[in-house]
Amino acid sequence: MSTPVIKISNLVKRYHELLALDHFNLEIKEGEVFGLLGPNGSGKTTTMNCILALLTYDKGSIEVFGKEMRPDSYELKRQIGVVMQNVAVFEELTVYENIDYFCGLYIQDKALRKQYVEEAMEFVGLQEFKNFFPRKLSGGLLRRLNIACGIAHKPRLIFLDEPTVAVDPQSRNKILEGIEELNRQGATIVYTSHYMEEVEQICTRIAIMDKGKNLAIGTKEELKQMIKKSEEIRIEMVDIPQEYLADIRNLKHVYEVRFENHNLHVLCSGGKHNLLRVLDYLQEKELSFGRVYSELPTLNDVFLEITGKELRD
Amino acid sequence: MFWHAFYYYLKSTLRQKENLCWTLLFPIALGTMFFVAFSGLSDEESLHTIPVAAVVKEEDIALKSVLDTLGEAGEDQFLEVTYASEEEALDLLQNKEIIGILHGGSPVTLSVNAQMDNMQMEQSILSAFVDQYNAIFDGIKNVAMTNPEKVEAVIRGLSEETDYNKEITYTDGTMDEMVSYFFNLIAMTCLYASMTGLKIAIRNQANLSALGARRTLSPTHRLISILGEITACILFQTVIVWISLFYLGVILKVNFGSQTGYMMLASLVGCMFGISFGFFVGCIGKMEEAIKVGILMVLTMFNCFLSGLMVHSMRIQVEKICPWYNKINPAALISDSFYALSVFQSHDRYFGNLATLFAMAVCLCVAGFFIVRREKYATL
Repeated sequence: MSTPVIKISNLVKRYHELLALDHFNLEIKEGEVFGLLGPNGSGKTTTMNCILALLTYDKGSIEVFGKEMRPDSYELKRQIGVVMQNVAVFEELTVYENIDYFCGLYIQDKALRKQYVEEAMEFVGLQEFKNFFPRKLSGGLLRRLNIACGIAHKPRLIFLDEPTVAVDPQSRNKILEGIEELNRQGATIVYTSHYMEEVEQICTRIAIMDKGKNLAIGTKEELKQMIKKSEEIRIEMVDIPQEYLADIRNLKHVYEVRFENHNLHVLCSGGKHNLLRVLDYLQEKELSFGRVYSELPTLNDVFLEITGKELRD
Repeated sequence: MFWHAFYYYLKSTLRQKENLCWTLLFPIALGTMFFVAFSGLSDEESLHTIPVAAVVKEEDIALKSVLDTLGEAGEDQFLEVTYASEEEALDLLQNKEIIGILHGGSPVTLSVNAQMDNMQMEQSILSAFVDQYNAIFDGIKNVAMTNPEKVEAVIRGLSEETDYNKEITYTDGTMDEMVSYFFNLIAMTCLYASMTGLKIAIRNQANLSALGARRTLSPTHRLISILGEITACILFQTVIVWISLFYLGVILKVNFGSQTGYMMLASLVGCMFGISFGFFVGCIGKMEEAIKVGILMVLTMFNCFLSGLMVHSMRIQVEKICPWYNKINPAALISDSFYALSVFQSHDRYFGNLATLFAMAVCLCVAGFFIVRREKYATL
């Protein structure tokens, strides 16, 4: 079995009284796009900063590429690229100069660096803004510059901390496509976000975090199988008698029924043809209804069922 | 890596227009203000020719002789004398065309116009002149009555001025105390370089800025890149001070003396201290940048005040009360270096001051490095 790219064992981090990471464990394999999903304050960024040896921790161990990560682990740092949550660029340098500056911290060879900088600009689609100063860029373009500065040196392991916050849909898609491309080129990605749609879209494995704990880990399919709900049926209706709700509750695989705001919600656990059975029953009772929806569980449902609260609470 | 950091920091600093504007324009503007204010003072203090009317009779030979001598045209002309009758003289005085009327006789008397309030200084000078004339005239008259043979000797003695002190100039500099204000201004400009030193510290610490975090994560030895940035900063700030010196010395013609090379060296060491000072303050604690800027401003102005930027005699007062502080006050050390160049032939005091400044700069830089060396933080 190959050595994991990152191995975190029993990590504990306190900020005075606050327990930010509570005996946190994690293993990330080479070639993964690994998502750290959790609400704000769940410990995602703290985990990342501990891995990068920016933060001290109280207990536990962290290994990156099989070695202990320390502030002076320059050989390890050379293989890592980081895109911070806050845009970190020089306001007085142009797009090209910013990427060249940060790439130069990793790559000494000027010719190679020039090539890498050009490739990074092309990768994030900033060629035509090459001589622009950051203050002239839109929020989305600025985020793209932030990413280019973090990945220009072609690292093996890339950390992206909420890279799409406050970004327009076009830039967001460009960023997500770019991350998938980096992964195809061989980079292992650690992606932290509280946007479950993004995590679902690009991550091959996901850890759900809350209050500094790793609540669940697996592929999105594995995570969804961990919960009771496999389908939620929603039907628009004017009204429905209480006794009919009890009948629907007794249908096969149905475990919860409620009627709210002229919507009938039917939650099913496993099984097939659940929607057909519910619609057959309504037809049999000659109840009229409007639009019908059938939704598969999302990561938010996983989070809701595990923690009892919405991911964005 | 040193040159990579040096090149980009210099480029970045040169493009900070506000920074460039303030660091360059502030000393130039303040220097111009000093220059204008001091020029006014010199003008006020310079003695103008005083217009007077003299009402004399045939027998007032001595007075006429003195008035003719003092009224001779030239750089030293003291009086502008109009001989007139009593009525004409009064008319002139009432029309404020003259400052006073000298009436011949024994004693000589002076009439002034009480409504000419703005001419009190000239009136006082005339009064002093009349008193001195009468005293001398009475003295000669007494000698003539008692020892007539010594009159000639007394008159000769009075006409010769004897200097008992001899002025020897070792340098071609100036001891004009107004120039010391400009020395203090240059010292202040050097110390304001601390703002750029502060920026270096903040941009290199992960717990103070996102840029600091990104750079901490790079595989570069931070001390080398910080050294590159500090060097770029010293170059930038020193050139700024040199431009200020050029403006004050060449354009405004403030007499700094001819030891230009030494003055440039003093500016360089002053800027080194300023940047190290700012870097050190930037490295200590997790305070916000604005608070650290405030600390630097207060300390800089306090030191400049004690070195005599606002009140020339302040440094002398500090020397009396707390002499050791003048030995470590960077503003006093910088301005004293310039002063020493102007006044003393030997460079001992000059190099002594620079050595102290340099040593303090190195200490602050090393202390800052030790703090920044800690690359792992409890909180970010």
